[in-house]
Amino acid sequence: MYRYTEFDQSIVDQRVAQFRGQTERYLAGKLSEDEFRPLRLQNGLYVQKHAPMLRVAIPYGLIDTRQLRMFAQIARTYDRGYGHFTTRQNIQYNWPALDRVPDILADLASVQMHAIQTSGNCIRNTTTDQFAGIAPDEVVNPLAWAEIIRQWSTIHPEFAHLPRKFKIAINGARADRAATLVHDIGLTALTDQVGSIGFRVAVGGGLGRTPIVGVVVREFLPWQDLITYLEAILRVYNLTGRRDNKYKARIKITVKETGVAEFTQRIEDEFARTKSGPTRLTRETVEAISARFTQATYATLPEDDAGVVTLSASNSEFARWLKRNTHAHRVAGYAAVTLSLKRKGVPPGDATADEMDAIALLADRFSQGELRVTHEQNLVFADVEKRELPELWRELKALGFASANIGLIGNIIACPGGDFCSLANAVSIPVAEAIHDRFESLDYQFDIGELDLNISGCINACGHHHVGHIGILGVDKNGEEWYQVTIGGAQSIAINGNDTARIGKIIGPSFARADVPDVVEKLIQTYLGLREREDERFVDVVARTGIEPFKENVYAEAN
Amino acid sequence: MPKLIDHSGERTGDPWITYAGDAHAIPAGACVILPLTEFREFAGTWKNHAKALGVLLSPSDSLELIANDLDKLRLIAIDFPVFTDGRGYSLAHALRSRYGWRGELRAVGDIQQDQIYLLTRSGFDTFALRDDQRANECVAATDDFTHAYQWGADRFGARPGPQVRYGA
Repeated sequence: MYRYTEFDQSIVDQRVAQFRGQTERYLAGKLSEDEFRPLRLQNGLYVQKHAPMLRVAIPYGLIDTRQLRMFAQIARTYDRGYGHFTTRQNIQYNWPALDRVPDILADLASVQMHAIQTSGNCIRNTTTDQFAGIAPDEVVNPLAWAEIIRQWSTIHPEFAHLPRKFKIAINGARADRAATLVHDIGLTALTDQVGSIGFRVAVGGGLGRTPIVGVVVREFLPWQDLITYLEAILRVYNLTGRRDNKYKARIKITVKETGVAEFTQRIEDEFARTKSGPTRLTRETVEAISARFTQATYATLPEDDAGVVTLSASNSEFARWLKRNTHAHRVAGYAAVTLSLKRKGVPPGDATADEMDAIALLADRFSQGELRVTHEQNLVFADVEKRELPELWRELKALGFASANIGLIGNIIACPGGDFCSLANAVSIPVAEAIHDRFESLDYQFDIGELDLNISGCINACGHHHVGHIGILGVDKNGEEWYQVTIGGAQSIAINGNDTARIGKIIGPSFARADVPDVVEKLIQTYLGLREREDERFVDVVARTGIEPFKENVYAEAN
Repeated sequence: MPKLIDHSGERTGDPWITYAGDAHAIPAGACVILPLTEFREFAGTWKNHAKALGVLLSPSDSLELIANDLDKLRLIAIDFPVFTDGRGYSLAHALRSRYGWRGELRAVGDIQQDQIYLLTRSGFDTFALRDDQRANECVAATDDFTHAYQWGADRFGARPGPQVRYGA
């Protein structure tokens, strides 16, 4: 956790005061709907179908238990007793009253949190790998860099009215767990031959209406230049991004229409002019920010724990949980644990206030009082001693967070969809539930193996359907809900030895809601028939065979 | 006439008149703000009639077009046709930091209280407010924040601005 200084605290406190004034002016009729809209959006407040929705930032997914308890308290005091963890490492409340939102923001500020720029045409919450800092395959810990980006982007005066929203992701491990290539800017922290830190910079990736994989504009940007370079990209985009059509306003379209070479040249020109200016980072700054992060303390432990080995040999349920829901840690004798928020009858990513409090207790007991929110809408305890895994598993099982479905079809990623969101064309949660029920058997899930299934209720793609191995998109056809299916997408897949993102391909005409579980079933059966090895995943088979065999099977009966 | 403010209060007696196509409306010896095209074509003529020249930029104008004429100018105004058009912020930043403009930089158009802080930090020092805006509240908004993370273009101006650094 980054712990605020008084300087940081002052900024969030004054932001609350500013928004309180703006809300009062709006309620008093002194600000029009149009004038208030960007102000409320940049403070996380949407107007949804039933009520306003407040999106709170969880910067790069990291929170401590004091903050989680505040989420619970807010859910109880201002909402209907629950919150929804999102695909962008935020939490959303679906039922706050507009006039109470400044109070919610003040409560958040009291635990060093905010909802600044979680919406609107500005730089959004920067996201990262949920295993940042503890992953064995990590090259550079991205957390301090993510915090520097958070500070730089917070209330940046020049970039508060961009052509469109702007999302930055940063990853520092060999595997890209932050889906950097489908962000407006994707940063990969790495080191050069002499061990100096730098960043590979990709620009213009994104999902939504025009899914596209970002292009690398810099292979190695020295760390001192990080903010200056980001600023150069934002400045070029702010001046040249389209403002005449919101569907063509994202930087991916600017890059496409300008041409990669020309766009890169403009960034480089602007960067060359500002390179030695005040935005150049110093070692003191980076060290001071790094030093504000809490450090986990580790005991000296053997790599494997005998109790864990014994239990997993005798208890297959524990063994499965161990396989799917625990993850390697860079420190011997430790593991990271994913709490699955994908449960029968509960929308993906939802948790009640009581559950949040219970999770906070467990995080205090088992993971040094901190946890992470993942872009797959789950929670992670990052620093668990392996010898405590059996006990933690029992506790999580009692709470219902021990489904061994991480990385499997049961770990469905879905936006709130038409039940809540006014943008949606179709519902997502009932579709997720129907698929969840169909594939409830864990035996079946394990047999299918690794599979990301993502559902978005509309083309805005909050459920990241384009990068699901199976993606389901709600579409509107003459006022009816239909679902388009894509396969072969991946947020990160090794192609010729390099990790890249891949956009799924549409298999054909869309389906009625009731047919979606059958369609998924047919896709799975096709895969199981084509699979050549146990470890050949669904997405690998699609990459090998193309979509044709899947398409044939799915549409066979109709013909 | 829109109300004009700076960070210290309302400015009365603004000497600047904006040329809007009718040269007769501009008395000899006035301080005149010219649209960019007029400035580029007729700056020489206007120089003889006017006491001082300013230029009015629209968000899509390229600063290159005035880069060599900055010494002829006493004021640059940037228009915000709608408050959500953020290009003017980057133009202001570039004028202050890249082109070294130290004269008056005025925000005109759809200018309201909630932009004032951002505009100030991007290098603007005067604000021609939209008619319904209250001058005192807009002046107060220049100080919405006492601390900031970004090196804004306001560092080139007379106003001290917020304390700027990273949090730690």
